[in-house]
Amino acid sequence: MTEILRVENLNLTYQKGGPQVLFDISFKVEKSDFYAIIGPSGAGKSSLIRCINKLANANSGKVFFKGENISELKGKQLRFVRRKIGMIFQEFNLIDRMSVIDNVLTGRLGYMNTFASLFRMFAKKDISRAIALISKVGLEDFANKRVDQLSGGQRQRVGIARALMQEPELMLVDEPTSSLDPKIAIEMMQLIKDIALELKIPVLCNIHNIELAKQFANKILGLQDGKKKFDDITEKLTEQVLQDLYKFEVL
Amino acid sequence: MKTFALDVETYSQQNFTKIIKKFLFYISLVVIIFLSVYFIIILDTDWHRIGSGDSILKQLSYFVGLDLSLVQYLIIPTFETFLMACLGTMLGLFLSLPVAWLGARNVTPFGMLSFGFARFLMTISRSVHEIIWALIFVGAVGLGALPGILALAFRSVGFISKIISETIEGADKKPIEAIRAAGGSGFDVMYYGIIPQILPTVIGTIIFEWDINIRRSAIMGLVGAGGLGLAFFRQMQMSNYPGVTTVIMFIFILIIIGEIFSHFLRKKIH
Amino acid sequence: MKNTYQNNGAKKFIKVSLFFFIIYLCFFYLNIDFERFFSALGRFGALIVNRYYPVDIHYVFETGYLKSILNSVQMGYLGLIIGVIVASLLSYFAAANITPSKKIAYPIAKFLIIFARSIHETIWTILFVTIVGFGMLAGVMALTMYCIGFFGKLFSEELENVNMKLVETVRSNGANEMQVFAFGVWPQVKTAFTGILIYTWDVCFRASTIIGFFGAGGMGWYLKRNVLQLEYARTSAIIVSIIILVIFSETLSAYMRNKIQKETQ
Repeated sequence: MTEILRVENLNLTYQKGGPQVLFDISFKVEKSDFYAIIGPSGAGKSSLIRCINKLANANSGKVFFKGENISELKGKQLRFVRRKIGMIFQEFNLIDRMSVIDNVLTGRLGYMNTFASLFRMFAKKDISRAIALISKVGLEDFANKRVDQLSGGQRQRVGIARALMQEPELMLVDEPTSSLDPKIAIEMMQLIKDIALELKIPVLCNIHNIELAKQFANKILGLQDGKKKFDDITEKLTEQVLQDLYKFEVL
Repeated sequence: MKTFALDVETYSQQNFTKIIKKFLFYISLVVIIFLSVYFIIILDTDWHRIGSGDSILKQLSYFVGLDLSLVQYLIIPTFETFLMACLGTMLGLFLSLPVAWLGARNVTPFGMLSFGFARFLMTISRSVHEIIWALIFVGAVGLGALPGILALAFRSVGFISKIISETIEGADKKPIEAIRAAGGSGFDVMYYGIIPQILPTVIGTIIFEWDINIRRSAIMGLVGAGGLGLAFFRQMQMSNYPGVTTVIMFIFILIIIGEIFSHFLRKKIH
Repeated sequence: MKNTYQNNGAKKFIKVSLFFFIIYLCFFYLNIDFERFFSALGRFGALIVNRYYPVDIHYVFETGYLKSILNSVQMGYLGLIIGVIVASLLSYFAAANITPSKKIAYPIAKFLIIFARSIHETIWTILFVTIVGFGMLAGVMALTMYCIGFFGKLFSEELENVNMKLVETVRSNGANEMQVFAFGVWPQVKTAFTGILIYTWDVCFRASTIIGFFGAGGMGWYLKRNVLQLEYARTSAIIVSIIILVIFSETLSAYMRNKIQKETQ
């Protein structure tokens, strides 16, 4: 099947009595997609990404991952699904005092039993896979270095390697370039795209830089105030649509 | 140049050593704990005198229940305990100011001599338990609330003056320079330069210590220095265990009130 | 403009005077006689010089007393270990952001910590002495409760200040709750844990030196005996030895704290 992710009528309100963040969102992600979510700040982009792997709980609506309804999953079953979904974060979210390889290996936690993971008894297979991934993102010379001694771009690459340790079938990417300077940002997007192509997995990427979105994505989802305003291939994203989407954003 | 590159073998070995070390550490921790419990408690305790599990439960059950007839007699001591804590903390602050001034390296007048002396006073204040302070002052001024207030004050000086002196040492020099440059006196420097900078920390410390002092104030009465401690002592002496529970309840309520107050005050500051 | 300035001054003056007036009322209410106080100060000085000096140093080195010092240390250290273990567990449930059960476990754990903390260590001692009799067992139990309250409050606050984003990340890897704690929470609080542990040792040891006064083992018991027997020279010797030991313990703690800080840098 080529449809990896399908979202139907997703609604989200964070707190009881709080404002509604997402209104009836529906869209599909296919295996070869690099789907970019764009929109002004506060449009609900981060919340939408988090609803996919249930780091945020939608109030209503369904999420289908590879045809299976994952909206009601809990506990062990939820963890099995989360394993298959890799996530990359805006602020990298690494464990500062640990080395690159230790951080990358934590991506394997979903596949290990508690005792083994508490004592860090990683299988040799996992270790070699980790080293291979570290090389893939170009950090082979830093494998044993503490991550807080790395630059922003390098740290994001550690995050990418970590997500890949899960052998994911879908990549969720939350503002990967916001904490990076522009030149590195382009390299990062290219890296993510190349890896996704090589592993043949789709990417659902939150991004506020419209140029990067147009350059790397093949489909664009435009959100405004929690509502879907645009959902089509990149070529159809005209100036008119963009102006309409961002008209309420104060510069 | 040292390389941070890795291969599977090196990492496996490194990791293996780490795992073994961790494992040994936790095992020895557990062993030490078991040995300690054995030697310290199990051997030293007179198990016959304690009695069976039954008699312990029976003793515990005596504490269950409240002696409501006491309540009217506990209101004033509770109030007294609260006041002792407030006055004790205030007096402690008052006494801490000169000590903090002597104990701050950047403003102390006689160099290492006065600094060392201040640090010595702070250490004494913190090392002498409030009960001992209470005993000392009861011996000096008699029974009542006064020795309690003094004991709390002298006990608090250590902490309060330590924090204040550290804040003074960390104070930004620029406003001080500016005032000096404008022709301000030593007093002006203190009042307009240093005090505004240290005031937030000082207030936070006072609230913190006041909160702790309420707890200490409740036991001053155990040695005759006023407050609910005396009620506790009397009820224990009469073996009126429900009465003891009632007094503890009052102490607990007083502490909760103090916690709510200090939480509220701290929020107001920030 | 001049008017507001003057008014502010007047307001301040009124506030300050009111403040001192209230303090005066308090003293009046508490029956504090200032004359008695000042004469007592003079007597206090004479008291110290005559009664508490010279200090009977030799008493401190008697075997009975030396053993009691060891007992105090043992009580302190056991109370610390057991207290910290229990407190760590409670703190996990008492931290609003990571507690697994917000409606049941959280309020219970929070309450237990606050309760343990509100009751002074001397009162815990008296209570446990009533239940299990005199000796070190009561002392260890009392110190355990004290440490639970002290460590529990500080550590649960530390847990509540953890960066939840890192926790979220480990969750997204598909980890279970224990792994989330071990890899998301623990690395962030590891250093604070040791710092708070050392701090708790300081206060715990200080408490262990005197809870013997109320029936537990250790130096406090000797203190009480000598106070009751009006053996002032020995009392002051005991107090001095307590002070020296506490200072020694604090110096050791400060050294350990520095060493750990250097290692984790």
